[in-house]
Amino acid sequence: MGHLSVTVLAQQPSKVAMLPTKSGFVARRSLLMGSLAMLQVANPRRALGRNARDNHDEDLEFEMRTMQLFESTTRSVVAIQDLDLSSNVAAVDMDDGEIQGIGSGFVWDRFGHIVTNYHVISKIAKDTSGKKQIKVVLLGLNGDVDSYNAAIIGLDASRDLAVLKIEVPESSVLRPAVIGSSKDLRVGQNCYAIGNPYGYEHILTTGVVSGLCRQIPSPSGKPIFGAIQTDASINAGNSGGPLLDSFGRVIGINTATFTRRGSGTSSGVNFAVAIDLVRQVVPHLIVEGAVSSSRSVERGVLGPPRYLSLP
Amino acid sequence: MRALAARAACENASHCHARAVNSRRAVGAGMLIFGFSLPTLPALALGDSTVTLEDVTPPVAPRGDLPPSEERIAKLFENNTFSVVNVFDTTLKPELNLTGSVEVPEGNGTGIVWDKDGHIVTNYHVIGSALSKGLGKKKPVARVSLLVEDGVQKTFQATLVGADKTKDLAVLKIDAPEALLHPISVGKSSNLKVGQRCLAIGNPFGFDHTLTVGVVSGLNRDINSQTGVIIGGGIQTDAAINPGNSGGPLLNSEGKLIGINAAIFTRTGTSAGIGFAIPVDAVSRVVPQLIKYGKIMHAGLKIQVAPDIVAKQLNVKKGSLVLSVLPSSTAAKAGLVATRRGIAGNILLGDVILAVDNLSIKNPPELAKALDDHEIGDRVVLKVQRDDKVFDIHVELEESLN
Repeated sequence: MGHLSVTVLAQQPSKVAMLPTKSGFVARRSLLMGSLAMLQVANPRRALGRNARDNHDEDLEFEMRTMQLFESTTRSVVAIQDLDLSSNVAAVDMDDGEIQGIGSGFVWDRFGHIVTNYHVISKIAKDTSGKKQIKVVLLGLNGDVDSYNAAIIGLDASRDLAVLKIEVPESSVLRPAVIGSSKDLRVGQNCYAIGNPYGYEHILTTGVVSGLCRQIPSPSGKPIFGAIQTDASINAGNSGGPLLDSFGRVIGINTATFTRRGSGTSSGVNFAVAIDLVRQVVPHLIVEGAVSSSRSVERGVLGPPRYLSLP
Repeated sequence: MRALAARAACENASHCHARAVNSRRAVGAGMLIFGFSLPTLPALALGDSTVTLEDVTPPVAPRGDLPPSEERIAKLFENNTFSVVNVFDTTLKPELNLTGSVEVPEGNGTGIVWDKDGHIVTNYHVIGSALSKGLGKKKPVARVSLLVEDGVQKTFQATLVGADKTKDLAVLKIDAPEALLHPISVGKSSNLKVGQRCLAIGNPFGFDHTLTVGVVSGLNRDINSQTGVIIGGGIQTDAAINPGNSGGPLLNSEGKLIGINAAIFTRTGTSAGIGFAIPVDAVSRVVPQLIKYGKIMHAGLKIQVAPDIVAKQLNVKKGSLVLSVLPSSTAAKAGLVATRRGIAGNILLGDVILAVDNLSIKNPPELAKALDDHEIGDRVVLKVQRDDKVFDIHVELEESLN
């Protein structure tokens, strides 16, 4: 069989090429396309090798996933605001006061319960003047931003948790967050901290799970166990908001950052209260208002100890 | 290579509690929670009577397997965390601050298991306090905690094997069973690229075995080490590095050691996204020497050369003028001639070294660096000027005088 090797050069008239074959000469007409030079080369993608293409697709997939995650959780993350009426003595309408963003939270269920950190609303919770009102701001169905008065339903200073409730015209306005689990978290997996400090502007910080089973102080002074450590930045804007995994499930509540006294700036050492603890405590906070005994609740949620099998 | 079969992440409260006690002793030291205020009143919260517990307990959504990239990093951490240890300088005492909570001092740092003999590599400045107190070799200078099982740490007394301030490295030794020692896998730093992923494992603020991830942000940086020396060739990273991370590993995406975290650039004392690591190629050269000799032997010649001022006065403009040669040194044996006085009391100049292995030398520091880049025992060719003749002298390097 003849060995056909074609190098078609630019601007050559069509030629009849005589090619040697076993059975004799074979005439061939080669067609040329203007000034296009075509060289027979291997498919460039194949030349890179499967790995390069896979990694490229993986990066794209990661970006797509991150964007999708953000878009689908947007409606679940709310802004928590403090409306101060005392600055305006003649205020009749609740909206005539000074509004200050104080943190974030997320929608827990279709009844209008909102979960956040205790420390986000603790000042208002202790205010006895009656001139402060908590407002919750969330994105509505058609992209509208709606603000609702919120009532405090439950408080737990020892776990830095608080539950609010808002009354909405119809439950479809609410998009409860998808709840995950913190017990199968692994150090190194991605996590995303989302906040909504103003009601319409989400902030997203990303990082990895840096450590597990951390102990952090709570506003009551008692330690919170089982906290998730992350290098995703946690700050005043996303405090009280959810920490999500790559599947868009809430795995924690953004709570604290380690900072040198006086500086106030984050150090890459940040903490979230684990969702397993939140999921055990919040229903009680909703129904009862407060949790009576701390220890019994924690033992209930986290199952029997599992030890590593060492190879 | 050690791998975790399953990660028992915080299985029950008491387990978590025990782990917290082992790892992090202090809860004070500047931890800030936004809006932190003191004694609390839960009085207003009366609960919502319109719902039942069941109504408001959401289901837990399941998840699939982690995406491949996340799985890779999780595995990298699990495989390498056992090579990372907690180093605590025993000469530092915890201080009680005013609120009664214990402050974990900076002597808390990180170290890396180097080999099955129990050698631990860390920064010089992590045990700087013990070293400055002049604790000699074989004296206990630090406590080293090994990760035994997930969450469980075992503490050993560590003795000093060797340390070098100019490279900010120190080697300790612990007497631990081989089964507990998981040496780090050593990589190379000569082919690093800006933008490649890197992982840091350490003990920032006492939070043991913390993983932070970033990229190589820059190469060949000058590190202003805490020992007061400038270390060249530093790797810059944006993986969060904080006090406590010192002496810990910087790994590449294959889990190989590419650097030892040593310093950060900051105005607040905590990470600002600019961290620096000593490149592993330098570490690989230094550590075996520290283990063998307890110090770094700088390769050179047992000669004294004229400082710039003196050389100028003697009208030597280029190269390094040999002032004296130690008798019985390799330089003497090679025939290197020192500066001496003639019979009439005049100064007879010694040899001027112009180049080492064809690398031209302009002044004494360049000569020292050119020789230090070699190993003791290497043979080099010196281009020497004597009177008005230029010729080669072959000489074997030994430990330099200073």
